[in-house]
Amino acid sequence: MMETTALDRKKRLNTTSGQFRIALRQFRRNKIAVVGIIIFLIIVLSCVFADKISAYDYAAQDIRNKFAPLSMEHPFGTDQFGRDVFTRMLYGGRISLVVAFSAVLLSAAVAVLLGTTAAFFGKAYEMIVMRIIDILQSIPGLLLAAAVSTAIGTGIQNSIIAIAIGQLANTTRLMYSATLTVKNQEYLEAARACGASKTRIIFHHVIKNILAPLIVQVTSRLGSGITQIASLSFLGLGVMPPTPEWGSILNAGKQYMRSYWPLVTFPGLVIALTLISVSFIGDGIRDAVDPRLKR
Amino acid sequence: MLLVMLGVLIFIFALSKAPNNVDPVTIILGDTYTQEAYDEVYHELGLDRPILTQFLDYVWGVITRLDLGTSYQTRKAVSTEALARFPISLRISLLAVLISLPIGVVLGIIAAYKQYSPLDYTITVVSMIGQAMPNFWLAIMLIMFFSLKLKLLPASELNDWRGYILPALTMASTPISTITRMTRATMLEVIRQDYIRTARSKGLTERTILFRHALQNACIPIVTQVGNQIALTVGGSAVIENIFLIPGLGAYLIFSINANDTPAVQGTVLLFSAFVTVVNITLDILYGYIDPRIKAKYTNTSSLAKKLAKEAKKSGMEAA
Repeated sequence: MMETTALDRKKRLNTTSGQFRIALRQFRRNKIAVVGIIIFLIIVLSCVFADKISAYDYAAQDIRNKFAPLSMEHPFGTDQFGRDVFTRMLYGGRISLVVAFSAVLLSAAVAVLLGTTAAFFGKAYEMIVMRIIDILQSIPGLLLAAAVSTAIGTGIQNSIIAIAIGQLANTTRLMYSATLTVKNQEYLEAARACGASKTRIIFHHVIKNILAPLIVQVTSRLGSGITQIASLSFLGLGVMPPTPEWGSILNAGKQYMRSYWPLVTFPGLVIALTLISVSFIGDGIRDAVDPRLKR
Repeated sequence: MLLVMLGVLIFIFALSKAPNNVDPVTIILGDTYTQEAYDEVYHELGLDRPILTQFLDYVWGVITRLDLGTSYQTRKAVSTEALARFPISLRISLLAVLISLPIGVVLGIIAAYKQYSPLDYTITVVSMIGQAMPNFWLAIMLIMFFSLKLKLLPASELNDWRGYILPALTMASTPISTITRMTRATMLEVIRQDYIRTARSKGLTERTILFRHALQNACIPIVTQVGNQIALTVGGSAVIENIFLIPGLGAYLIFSINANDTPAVQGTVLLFSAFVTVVNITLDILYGYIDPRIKAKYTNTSSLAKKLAKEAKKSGMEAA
């Protein structure tokens, strides 16, 4: 008895990992995606190990050394307070990436819950949820995030919430339409006939079958999450100085654009490189997970 | 659609009542004031009335008089302040879309016709980069190159047409890339269709095939993208206007947010979403003209199919 269940489980594991392996093989074949993931990993790991890579303190001021010429000690130069820009970018990346990741995951979790239940239960509930989504969608994402951040305030936590709300409509809509397409499939009918509860059907059958668009959506939203937190901080609405954040570093450097070019060039380059690599990864994942979505 | 606008009204009103907001009276009076003055302003703003009355008054004012309230900062009507700035933002957005539409479509067609050629790869990779590049950085780089280094274009003045070039170019970067990719993808699908082969076997010229047969059928997704991009550029205007010091609506929004000027924030957000809504309605009407099949689909199919068709269209809207 024990043996058969163990065998069953092993078989099941094999099939899922088989699917996963196919996707992985597809992904690895995609050169652009592999380049993207390498660049992204380098950036993420340097941010994670910021204290090992850089000997400087991101807040340590050294006024005599301000606007230092590029050198091995200061590869990105120093800012108006003589702080090492490279170090600030490393520590700032922690904030930017954490905020973007959390916001995307938060909005994806809420969106899955709202989207699947709305499509699944229908009736008045569906109407109410989707109308609220319509309302949120009629305000451009960044402006929505900006408006929310005025109401709940700035800071890391509030920025996460603001960006998550800004992205919510789009992801919910996607989850909703994905659920609509699987809703009338026979396997759901079979599950229902077996007496599976609604919760079980949603969590066990529906969500598993809309995983492909969900994964694609999460990776593609990650890029816009990074852009949004950087934009918010750039506008002075996200994470506030003295906490280093990519957008606020760039914003601080903006005033010195005429006199000291590295202060805007390098931080921007890092942000752009991150976003480009994320978008390469996202494209690779989309092609690998669901070739039908290929554009 | 009206319901959606009403929802937006409720939403922005609720935001203005969030506990984190600064007391509006102190914004108007500054730090030092007497209790009488405080009470007077408090009463004048109608803050002593029940919230529901305040809300209904606000909605009524918006609907009947297009009255968006009075700015705390300037004590002028928000609607006049906002409407004075709106054309500037609109001009830049439209200019960006006008630049990006032809470039994007042409690049997309070239990439599709020469699929898997080095040219195709270059276009694809460049457009991916263009899509991912953050606007604020591109803007700064353009200023540094064209204004500071070459001294060709002004960095921030809108005195003549030259002032519009850099902002519009920055804003166009994402739409160009998105439209290119969209066009390439749809064209690839379309040129494999039977009717294209038929057209070719009839002996039509390549040009007729492209314009009369292929492009017309590839129109719908492209038009959808253009609509989305207009909405997106409106959202991005806040950042771009901030960098180029353009006195547009986006800059006004950010300024108002930083000044805790709640009525101004509410009014601007409302105006933005009204604009996006109008763009979407226009597109919906356009669809029917471009592709009569869509009209037919809406009139005689099951409710699920209708819902799916609608969702497919809406989820195509990728808000950043």
